[in-house]
Amino acid sequence: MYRLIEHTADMGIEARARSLPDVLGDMAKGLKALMFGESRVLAKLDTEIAVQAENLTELLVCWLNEVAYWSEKNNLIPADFRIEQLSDTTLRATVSGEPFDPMRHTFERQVKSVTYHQACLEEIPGGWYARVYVDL
Amino acid sequence: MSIRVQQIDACRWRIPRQGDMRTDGLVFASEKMMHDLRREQALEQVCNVATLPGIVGPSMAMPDIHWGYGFPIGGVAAFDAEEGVVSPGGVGYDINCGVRLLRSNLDAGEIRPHLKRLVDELFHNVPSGVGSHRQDFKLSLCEEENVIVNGAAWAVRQGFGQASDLEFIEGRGAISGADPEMVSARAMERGRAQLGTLGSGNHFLEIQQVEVIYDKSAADVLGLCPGQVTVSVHTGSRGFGYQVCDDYLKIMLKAARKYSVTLPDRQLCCAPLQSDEARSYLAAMACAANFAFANRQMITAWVRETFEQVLNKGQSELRLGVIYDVCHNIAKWETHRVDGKERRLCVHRKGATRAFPPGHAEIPEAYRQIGQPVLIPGDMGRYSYVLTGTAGAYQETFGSTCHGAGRLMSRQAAKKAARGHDLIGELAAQGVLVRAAGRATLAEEMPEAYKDVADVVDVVHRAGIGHIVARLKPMAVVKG
Repeated sequence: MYRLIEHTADMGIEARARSLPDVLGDMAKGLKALMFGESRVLAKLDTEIAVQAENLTELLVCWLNEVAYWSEKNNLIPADFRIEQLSDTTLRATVSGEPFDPMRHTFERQVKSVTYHQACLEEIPGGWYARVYVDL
Repeated sequence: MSIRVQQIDACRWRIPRQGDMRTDGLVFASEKMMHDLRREQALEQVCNVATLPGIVGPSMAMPDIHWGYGFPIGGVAAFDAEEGVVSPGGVGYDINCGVRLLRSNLDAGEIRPHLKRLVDELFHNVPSGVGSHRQDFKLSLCEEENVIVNGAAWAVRQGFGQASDLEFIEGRGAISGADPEMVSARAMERGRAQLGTLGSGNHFLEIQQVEVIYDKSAADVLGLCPGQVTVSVHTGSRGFGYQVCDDYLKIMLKAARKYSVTLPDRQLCCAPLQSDEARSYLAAMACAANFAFANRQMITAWVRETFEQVLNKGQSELRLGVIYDVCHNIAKWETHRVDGKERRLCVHRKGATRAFPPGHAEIPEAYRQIGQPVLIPGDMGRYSYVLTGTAGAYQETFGSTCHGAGRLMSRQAAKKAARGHDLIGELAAQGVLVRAAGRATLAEEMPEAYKDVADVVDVVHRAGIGHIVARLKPMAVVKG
C-alpha cells in the first residue's frame, strides 16, 4: 500500500509491503497516482524497464525515475508494474499501460525528478518500507 | 534533530556549529518566519550543507527559505576552489530556473480592454503545461548543441529577439565552459522537445502593472513608472536540466564514496572542485543554464509577437524591452573578498538570486550606478517586487538575496484549501485573469499557498541584502 506524503514544496511517496518486489511495485503505483491521480488505466501495452544502481535505495530512485521518463517520453500512463528480476543492484520489470487520453484520464502533476533526499528502502518487521520525495 | 538557533537581530539568526557542521549557519528571517521554520526540516538542511568540505563563510538561507531536498530552498553556500566541492543537489533539477522582466511603453488602462484576448493569445502562443510545444518550431540535434553552448545569443541569431536584449541578461545569457560532450543523449532528447516551452508547476507568464515605486531614481534608471505594463517570464531548463541533474547525481554518489565525503543526505552528493567529476558536471550544468537562457529568450519573442498582434502596434510603439533576467538555481565561479583576501569561490544558489552591488563590473553599464536588478515574483494574486543588489549583500551573502515568496502550504494542503473555491472566478473578481493548463496545478499554486512576498522582501531590505525599488501587481497570468 502506498501513501502520498506531505512536503512544503514538493511531495513524497511511502509504501509498506510484504516483499521487496511488492514495495517497489507499490511505490511505482504511488508515482502514477501523484502524476495522474486516480485515473482508471487499461493495460493495453507492455514495456520492459531495466535499471541498475549501487545499492537498493538508489535502485528505488532509479526505478521510479525510469517509470516517470517512460511515461513522459511515450505519453503513456502506467496501469500495472510486474517486477521480473531483482537483485541489490539491478531491477527488470514489465510496465503495462495505455496512451494518455485527456477525455478519460486526468493529469495532476509533472515530475521533475524523484530525489535521493531522505530516500529509504529498508526491511521492517513483516515486510519492507520505502520512501522518496519527488521534485515537482 | 533539535537545532540550537541564536537570534542576532530582527532579521538574522545564527545556527552555531553543532554536530558535524564545519561552519555556522546564517538564516535571514523575521521572528514569525523562524517560528514557522522550526516546524519543518529546512533548518536541518542548512546544517547539512554546513558539513560539506571546503565551505567558506556560513551556510546561508534567504528569508524565502523552506524545506527543499538536499539544500534548503533559499540556500546559498560558497566553496573554496581548492578544498571545496560542487553539488548538483545545491543547484537543483531545474538548472537556471529564473525570471525575466520586460518593460513596455503601455499603460495598464490602455490594455485592460484587450486583456482577455491578450492572455488567451499568450496561452495559445507560448506552449505551457506538459507535452505542449509549438508546431512551427523544430530543433535538430546539431542546432541543440549550438543552443547549449551559446544560450540566449543562439536564440537572437535565429530571430528570437534582438542583440540588445543580451546586455540585460545575467552573464549576457550564457555561462562559459559549456561542453555538449558532457551531456547524455537522454538529456539532449528531452531538451529537443521542450525548448521554447513554459512548463508546468510554479512556472508562469504574467502581465503586470507597476503599482508602487519606492525608489524613483532607481526606477527611472530601470525605465519603470506607475501604471506601466510589465511582463514576467518564469521558467528554466525544462527536461534538459532535470536529466543533467539526475545523470550527475548518480556520478556524484559514486564520487562521494571515491573521495570519502560523508553525506548527511544522499541528495548532497558532491565531488571536489578539482576532480574530473566536478569539471564534467559544471560543463554540463553550463549547457543546461544556456538552454534556459535560450528558452526565456524565445518566449520573450513570442510575447512580443502576441502583443503586436493583439494591440496592432509595432515594437517601436510597444517597446517591450528586457529589464533583466536572473538565475535562481545555479553554481557559479565568482571572486569575493573573504577576511580581507580575494578568493575564487564556487557559489551555489538554490532558490536564491545573485544581487551584485552598484559599481560591479558584471552589471550592465546602464544600471551600474544602482546595482543589479533583482526580480522577486510573489504569488498570482498579490504582487511581485523589483529590487537592486547592495554592497551589504556583496559583503555578507556572496552577493545573494531571496528569489520569491517561498511556499507556506504543502501541495496537498493547498489543494484541500482550494476545494469548493472557484479560483479563476475569485482571481478575476480581484482583477487578475488566469489561464492554466492544469486544474490541479492551479489549486496547488493558489495565492494562499505562498508566504506574503512583501514579508520576504521586507526582511531582505531591512537586512541590507537587497533594496526595494518597485512593486508590480498581476493583471493576467498564464500558468503551466
